[in-house]
Amino acid sequence: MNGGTVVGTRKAGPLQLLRTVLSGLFGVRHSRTHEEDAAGLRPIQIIVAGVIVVVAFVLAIVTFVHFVAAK
Amino acid sequence: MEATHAHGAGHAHGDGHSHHPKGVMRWITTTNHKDIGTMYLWFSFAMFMVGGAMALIIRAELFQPGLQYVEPEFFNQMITLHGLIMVFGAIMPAFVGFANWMIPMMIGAPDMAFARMNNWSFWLLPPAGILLTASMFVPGGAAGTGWTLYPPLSIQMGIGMDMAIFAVHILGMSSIMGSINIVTTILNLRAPGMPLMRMPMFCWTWLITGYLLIAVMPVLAGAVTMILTDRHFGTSFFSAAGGGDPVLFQHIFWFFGHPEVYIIALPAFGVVSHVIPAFARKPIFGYTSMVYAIASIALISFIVWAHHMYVVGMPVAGQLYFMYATILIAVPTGVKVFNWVATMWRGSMTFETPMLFALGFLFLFTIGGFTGLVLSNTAIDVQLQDTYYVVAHFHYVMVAGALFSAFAAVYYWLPKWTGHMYDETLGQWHFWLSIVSFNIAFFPQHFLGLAGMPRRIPDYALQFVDFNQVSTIGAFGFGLSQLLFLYVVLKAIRGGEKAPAKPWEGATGLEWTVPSPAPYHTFEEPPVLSGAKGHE
Repeated sequence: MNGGTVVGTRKAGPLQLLRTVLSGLFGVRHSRTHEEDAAGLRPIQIIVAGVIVVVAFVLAIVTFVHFVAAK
Repeated sequence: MEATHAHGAGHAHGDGHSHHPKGVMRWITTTNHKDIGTMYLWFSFAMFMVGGAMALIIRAELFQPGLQYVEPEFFNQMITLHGLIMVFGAIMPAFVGFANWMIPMMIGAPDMAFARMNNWSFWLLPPAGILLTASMFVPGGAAGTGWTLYPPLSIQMGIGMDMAIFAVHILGMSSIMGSINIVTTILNLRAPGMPLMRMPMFCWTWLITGYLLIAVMPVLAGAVTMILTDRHFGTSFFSAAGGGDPVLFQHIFWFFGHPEVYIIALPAFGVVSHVIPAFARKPIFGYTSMVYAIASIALISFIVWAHHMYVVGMPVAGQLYFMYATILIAVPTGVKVFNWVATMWRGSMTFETPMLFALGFLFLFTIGGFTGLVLSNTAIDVQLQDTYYVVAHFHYVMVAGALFSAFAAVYYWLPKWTGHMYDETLGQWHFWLSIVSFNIAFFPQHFLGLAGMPRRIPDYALQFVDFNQVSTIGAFGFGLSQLLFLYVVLKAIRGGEKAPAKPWEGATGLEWTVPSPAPYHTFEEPPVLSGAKGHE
């Protein structure tokens, strides 16, 4: 990727997108998997998926809280 | 990274000097990012001195129980102004100053995207600083609410409160314009061949910080405007007497206030992510995961605000939600600490002053993070809310985190700015005096808080005397140590060993390809990038 752009030729699927964002949320991943993902993803996809995952994250905690706080 | 100037090294720096005004008008009319960066840094240092003097008044009063030096009302004003001035006047402008100076040089741009707006962003700051400090001298004195400006107190105070509100408005405008400028510069003015995922980490942290600022500063402006209309125009947003809700203010304020913590912390992370690799002589470990971790910290920072409000009255489900969400934000933050440590692992390390401050940051910011985790637990926070434990916690984050990182940045880039090496011996003295006196000042405050000493009170019970005296001695030591910092900086400006273009063996990036001191105009032609990744 010698100074080139990250716009790749291969298109990434939603599962791969989810994997990218979840590993981003956790913060640790293998650089090889990242290079694979980066080749097929556009920034706007990652941003939209990131916001959706955060909303899902909030809903998951809320659901868990309702379960815990239930009488 | 290899970079060559399209027209040779000599061309870009010879012209452009003759037509700009001299003397004071140079500084008033300048649109040069280096001039404006310099002004931001001097302004923030001046505010740091003012806010620091206020901190010493607070600590002097707390040296003994009972009232010695100031009235309780004035003590509250010092508490408020110290917080507002340090957050909005010292730390935030310091990092905007670093951004102004370094981001165009890091990405190979000739200047910031909106050069005139840049001038305006800076020149809004001095009036705001004057409003805040002058409010001490108006009838009724300055705002005495604490920096959080909670109603109902903020609805009741005198004209000093209005001055604080206007100051916050102006500082917010300056921040929004500054961040629009930084975001646009980073997105549009990068040298050809520098994609986002190859740009320096400081630019990444500022890109995300810029978005955070644009998102939350209007929220703060709205909150203080509602206080203003409650005070003068008969509305009742927060005034319970008219059916308003004071707790609403707390929600709005902390929806701004929690991301604000990361607005201050993220650029500090960026600086440390440059200094540690340079002095460990290794590329940063996990560049990509660092970028992702910064982005996720920024997003999660929006969903945890009410952990500042556990005791104001909240359903158990709400307490649990904010507790879980807050604890989870420790994961990406922990990843960053892990990455910095892994960067140093088996590195070829040396310990010049910037590295010392970066390591001090790493060590003490982690302590501040851990005490934050303690406070995130609702059951514990109910005991510790509004005690000195909280004061100790956020000073470990703000002073040992943001301020130490700012010191690291100054020592790291000072040769580039002034063309001279700073006095290494004195720099190391500054570090050791600072870190020792900081811990003497703030570590005992954990014990005071655990023992139940409330914050924002000028008097205290007799059992708290010893730790308060230790803390005050440390605080005066810390304050005096900063005069040494001023001396070291002035000495480097006036002269000293000539700095080469790249004074640090392990430093990488475009900013080190221009001569030291950096010429008035750099990268008028975009550099030709070749070779490896931009962040290596």
